[in-house]
Amino acid sequence: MISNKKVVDNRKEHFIKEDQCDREADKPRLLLVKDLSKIFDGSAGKVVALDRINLQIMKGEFVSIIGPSGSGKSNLLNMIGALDKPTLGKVFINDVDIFSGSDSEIAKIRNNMIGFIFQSYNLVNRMSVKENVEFPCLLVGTNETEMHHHSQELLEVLGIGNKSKSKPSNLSGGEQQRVAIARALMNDPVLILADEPTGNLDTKTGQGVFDLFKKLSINYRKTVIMVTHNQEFAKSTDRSLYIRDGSIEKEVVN
Amino acid sequence: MKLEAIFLISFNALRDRKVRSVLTILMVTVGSSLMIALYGLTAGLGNFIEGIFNKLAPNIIFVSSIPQGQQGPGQGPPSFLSQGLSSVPTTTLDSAVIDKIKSLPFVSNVIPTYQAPVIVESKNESKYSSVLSIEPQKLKIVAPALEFVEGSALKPDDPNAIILAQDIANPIVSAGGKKLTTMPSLSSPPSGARTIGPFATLGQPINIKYLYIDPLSGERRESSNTFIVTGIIKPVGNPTIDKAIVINTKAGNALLHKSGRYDALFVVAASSTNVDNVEKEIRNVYGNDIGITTSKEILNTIKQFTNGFSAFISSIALISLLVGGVGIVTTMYTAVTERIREIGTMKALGAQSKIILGLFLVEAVIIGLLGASIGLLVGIGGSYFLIDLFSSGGGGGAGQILSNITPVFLPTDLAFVWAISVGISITAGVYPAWKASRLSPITALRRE
Repeated sequence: MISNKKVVDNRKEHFIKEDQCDREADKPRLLLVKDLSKIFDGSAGKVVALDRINLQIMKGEFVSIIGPSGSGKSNLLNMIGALDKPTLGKVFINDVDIFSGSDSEIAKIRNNMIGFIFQSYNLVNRMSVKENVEFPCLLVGTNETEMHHHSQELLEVLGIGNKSKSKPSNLSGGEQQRVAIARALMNDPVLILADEPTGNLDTKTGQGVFDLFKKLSINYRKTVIMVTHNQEFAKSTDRSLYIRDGSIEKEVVN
Repeated sequence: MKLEAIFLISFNALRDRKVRSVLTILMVTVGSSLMIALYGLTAGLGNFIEGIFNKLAPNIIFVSSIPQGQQGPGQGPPSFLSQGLSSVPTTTLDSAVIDKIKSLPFVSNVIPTYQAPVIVESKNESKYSSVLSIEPQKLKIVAPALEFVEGSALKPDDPNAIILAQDIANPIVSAGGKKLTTMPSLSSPPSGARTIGPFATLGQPINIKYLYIDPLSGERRESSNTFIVTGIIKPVGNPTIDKAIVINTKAGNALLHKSGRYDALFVVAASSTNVDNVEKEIRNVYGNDIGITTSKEILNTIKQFTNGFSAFISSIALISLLVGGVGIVTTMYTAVTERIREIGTMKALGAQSKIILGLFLVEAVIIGLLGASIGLLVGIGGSYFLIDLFSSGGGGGAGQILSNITPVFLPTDLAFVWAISVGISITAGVYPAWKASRLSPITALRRE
């Protein structure tokens, strides 16, 4: 049975369908990564950025990927998010091999199934906040009224409803990241990927943003994979994957 | 993605960098406006020339004693100033030839004339001109648009009567004090010019001097006579008459020592539709030993010249449009380079390559549409401006001709220039747009 759930802090209702199955007992698999490798041709020869990565992530999990710089965290996230193609291996989202289709089909997967949040926000400065948020829907020709309504709802849930007409450059770092989160949620993706979303933010703001991800995971059953340097944040997720030199060193259930 | 959304995003992208967009649009505007102005002026020039020749009797055929193909510059109907100086006549146009041609089918009349360069002296001033010696009552047949400023036609039995073209009778001084000694066939002087005392007036005696080489002795001789001005005529569009002085054939024979050997014949066909037949009949009799020109041929020759000139000028304008196209390539390429991260973000959000291609191509389309459309308006206005500029500059004959030209803007010309301008703009935008669409999301996102 599917029902709609109100946001805990009494802001407007955000229409995200919530699965009422028991979260702990019966979680279907959302993501499967199989023998994933990425090899770059460098000036000093071949560089193995990812070395036969295998992992599974269940629906509704909040997983962190943590490791030193250059360990391959971002590369792994880019492969999962279909931003880059692996040298070897496969990535399945909802049992769909995301790299099996044409570039157009991969683009559609990025639009429909994945919401990506970047460390540097990557908002388009000449577009307003609302236009930035609505861009993923414009790509699929969503009805304008629905689109405007949904974008405004998301902005209000994220606490920046009054900034819809502002330009991103007029917002603080935390506000910009919230805009990026709203944009990532516009098409109701099954998987949210966040590449060091708090990396450019101060501690307090960073905590606020992390709490949002937590809320998405717990309250809205969104599957979230977050790359982070922050050990405290990592421990607050369901599971942490420690990656070093392109391989998963260990996996910790928190 | 909906087309309106693509258009709006592209338009906003151009608006975001206003100065650069305006300058790029300006490049297209300059090229297209130049082409439109030149097309308009060329079409107007063509109409002007056709208008002049429409005043000529369309059923008149000019026959000269200079063989076909040997007529040098100034020979043939437009001017006889240098007749006899560069080619040797092979057929003498005498009464026998006149009678022969008169007997041909479709010929209703043959009007013989003497023509020669002379010196006209009046009031201690002298100028070069050409004399046209013709039966007075036949002048109106040759120049149906003949109109007198003052005076009247020559009387057949008055050997001392002379008619002057207005151009000869009234010298005009330019606003800068420079005296213009030549005048094309015009109905009004150029702006800024004023008329000083006339060279000759009605009833005034003038002296006509003719210099020639005696065919028997080979010596240089001079013949002169005094005439009374009985009429001053307005320009008729026939250069032979508009720059000439007119006397009757008897006076001409005496002054020019022609002994009945005419310089040219005006053969009058029964109608303008018989002109080609008459030409053919004359050719059958005399072959290429005689020179034949019709108004139609002159007009066609001039049209060929104006068309060739127009094509040359248009190619120059096209080059400027191509330069505009290069400008668009530069602008678009710079835009793609500056917005690489934005392209990467759009692709990361699911934009397909064709959407990115469309976004940048539409920017080029908008530049082309705006540039071409504004260029049409500027070109139309600009052609009138060019006419004003050159005709008021005291540029002599050319400026005076320009002041009588009205630009003509044919819908086909406008549509052609508009389409070319838009086409070049779109073509210029293709490569940068294609480059943008080929970027991989991660490559674009990693660019600083």
